[in-house]
Amino acid sequence: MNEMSKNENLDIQIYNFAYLDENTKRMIRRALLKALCIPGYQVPFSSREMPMPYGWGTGGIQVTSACLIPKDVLKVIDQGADDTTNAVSIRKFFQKTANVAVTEKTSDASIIQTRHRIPETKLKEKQILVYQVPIPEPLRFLEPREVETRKMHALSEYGLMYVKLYEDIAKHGHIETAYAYPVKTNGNYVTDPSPIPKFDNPKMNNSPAIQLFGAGREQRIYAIPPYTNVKSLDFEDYPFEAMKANFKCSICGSSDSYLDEIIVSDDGKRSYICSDTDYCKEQTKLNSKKED
Amino acid sequence: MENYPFSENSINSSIAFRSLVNATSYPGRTFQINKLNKPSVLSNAAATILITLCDNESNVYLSKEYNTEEVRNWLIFNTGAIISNKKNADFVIGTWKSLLPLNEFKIGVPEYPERSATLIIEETKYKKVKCNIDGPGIKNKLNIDLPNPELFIENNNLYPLGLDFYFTNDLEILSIPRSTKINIIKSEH
Amino acid sequence: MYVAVKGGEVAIDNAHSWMSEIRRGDTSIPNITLDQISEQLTLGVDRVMSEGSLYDKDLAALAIKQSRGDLIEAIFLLRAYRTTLTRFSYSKPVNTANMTCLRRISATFKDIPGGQKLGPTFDYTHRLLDFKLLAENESPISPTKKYNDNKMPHVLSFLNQEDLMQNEKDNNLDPIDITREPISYPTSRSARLQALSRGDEGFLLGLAYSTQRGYARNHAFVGELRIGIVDIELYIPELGFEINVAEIILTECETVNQFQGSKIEPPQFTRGYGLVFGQTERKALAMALIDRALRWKELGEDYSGAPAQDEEFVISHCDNIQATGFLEHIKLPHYVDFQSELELIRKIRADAKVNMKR
Repeated sequence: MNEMSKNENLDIQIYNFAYLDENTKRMIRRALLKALCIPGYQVPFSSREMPMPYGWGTGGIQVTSACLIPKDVLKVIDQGADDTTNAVSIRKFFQKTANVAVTEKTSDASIIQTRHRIPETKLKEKQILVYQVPIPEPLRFLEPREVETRKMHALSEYGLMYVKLYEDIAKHGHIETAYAYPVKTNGNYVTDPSPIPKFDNPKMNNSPAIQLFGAGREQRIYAIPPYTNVKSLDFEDYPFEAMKANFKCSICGSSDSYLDEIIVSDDGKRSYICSDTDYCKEQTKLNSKKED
Repeated sequence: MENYPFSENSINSSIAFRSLVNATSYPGRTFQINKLNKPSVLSNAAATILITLCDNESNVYLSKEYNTEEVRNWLIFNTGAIISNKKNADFVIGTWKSLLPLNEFKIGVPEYPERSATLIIEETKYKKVKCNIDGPGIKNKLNIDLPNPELFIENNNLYPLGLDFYFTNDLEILSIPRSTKINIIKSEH
Repeated sequence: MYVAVKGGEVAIDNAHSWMSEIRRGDTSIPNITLDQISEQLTLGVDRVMSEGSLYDKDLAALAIKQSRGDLIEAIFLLRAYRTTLTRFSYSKPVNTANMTCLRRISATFKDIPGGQKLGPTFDYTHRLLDFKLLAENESPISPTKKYNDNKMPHVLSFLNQEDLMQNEKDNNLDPIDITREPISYPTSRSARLQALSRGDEGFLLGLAYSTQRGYARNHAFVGELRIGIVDIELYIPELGFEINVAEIILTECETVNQFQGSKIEPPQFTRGYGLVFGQTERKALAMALIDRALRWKELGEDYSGAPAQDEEFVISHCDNIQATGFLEHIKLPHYVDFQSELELIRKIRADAKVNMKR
């Protein structure tokens, strides 16, 4: 055994299953259950300093750590892709500390930790989707003070948010929010869906899966239980509209998945590919079967 | 080691917690819990909730059937929880009748609705009323039997404040969080 | 057909091994030892221990070595390690009046019981590069004198006697521990002091400076600054008494600030308080100034809208581990949200062009 792998074994022995100690997990677990009982409400929790920087998914990592069981199959994505650097790093962390199986296939995963996307493949009952959240407070950019925003949620006082959306329409004819588009959960709390493109918002509504949100630096946990009404904020005459680039994926040919724009030549020529790498792979497989 | 509630603490507590996540996410459906070492008066399911969630910051109210030396010692030794009165309790354990009236338990405050009690109901012999339930976590309306459904309706009317319930029976657990809407099914005579 | 680029895992491994090589530098030069760091870069070690919230010189030295001298990175390493430690017990509050002082000065009284003691300070040094340090094996020796163990009572206690200094009342509550419970606003002074003591030296320095320049101006006299060794005592229930488990170095600063009096209080001097691990006097001074600025509400003063008076602003932004993490996260891929912005701006521009033509 070389020096490196000896050290890696040492790490596993020093830390608890899935890294966090039992007391920290208890505190997070209590917060998670209350979050599920009050859909969309941000439960404060005493987030721990993790061995990754704040802002790099520490909230999601703490939630995943508190939820993981040995027989879980974990998928980690960032920007929809399994192979982006931070997704790779987080997946490795749980392989090392929890020794869980990992997958890239959405349908095989029992827990999916994500940053900025909801997978294209429809989720199933008892699958857990863990979102990494940078700023959990949807009202934060309208009112920076926690004391004030907490009051606004308590009173369901969301006028400020509607005024902002309305001003956008008056100025530009559109609501100027393309990602982290606010939703109302269970008809009650205005909730930040994390910085997913608004294309993904409809997937949150009435999903069979369990959606958990962790914001480490901001010390908040919230949840959207399965089969919960999640409505993107809008106006009767300006209904919410999901949006994506109007092209086909240049790998799998899909026209219904969210696309990333890439620059493919020095003269700035653009091409479009699925942001969800697993979905793209599955579509490509399906296509080749059809051709056979 | 064999006297500890869980044989392999971090593994068993994680499995127990997953059952709680599922139960809380899908109200009205029954989920299974594993056996553990616990005082005989407690069901496995109720003991599992306490062991998985309580620590030295948790106030636990034990109704009189459960407020025995054995239960108290077991709980304090294994979790460090504080035995408390009704008013301050974070976790409450008892039979349905022994916990009535419910209005002494904390329901949270508008700024912090999560600062509310979780009630563990340890009994199956209460007077049952047929109800159907709806709300977050429920795909199609579900029929279940509840004791005094009017109290659950009242609790839901407090939403987003309110109490969260777990019904426990041996190895089974079922949740009715505050978000669940209750309709009493009128009996046909 | 386009083929997506893969290889994140290999790239990460290679980047990290390159970083290790660079950290070590030229291998013909001896490896720096932890003793060298903890003995010769003491103030860096002290900063890492104080903002890392863990008093352990060896671990702080290790963190500094591992982080290539990036102190915020070292603080981060120490914090991440600290969270994994079990809490056995809480010590008794330290008694800084019994400190064995290495340094103790007052700017308010020329002579004080116990005396002024300059100690190992940069103050009054001429900031000229000392080329003698280029020579190796220098071993400077300073004159020694027997430690004067006269009592050194807190200077402000003498103002207390005349009732000129506001007396700090014990609220008999356990202090809040912000590493165990999330801060909610408005918060308590104990939570604020803990946050400031762990807070970033640079951020605190800038804020404290802003109060001196008129943003919530409240002129501060350094009533006392003391640096020295205090005992950490632990009550052992089995023994029924306290035992001394450690000695640590602390820096404590108490400022004397004017207070005009308000509707509820007659004019009196008030206090700003700073207490920090190690020899960290810039930080302790800054902490005291900010503590005092944040006390406006309790003292019935006006809120002038200055940043240093704004509790939520100061406390939510003073932690450099939170700040650096969030700042640096913008290096992570944001293809998806950027893409959605691209689509939106194209759409808005297209609509605008149509409208302009009309």
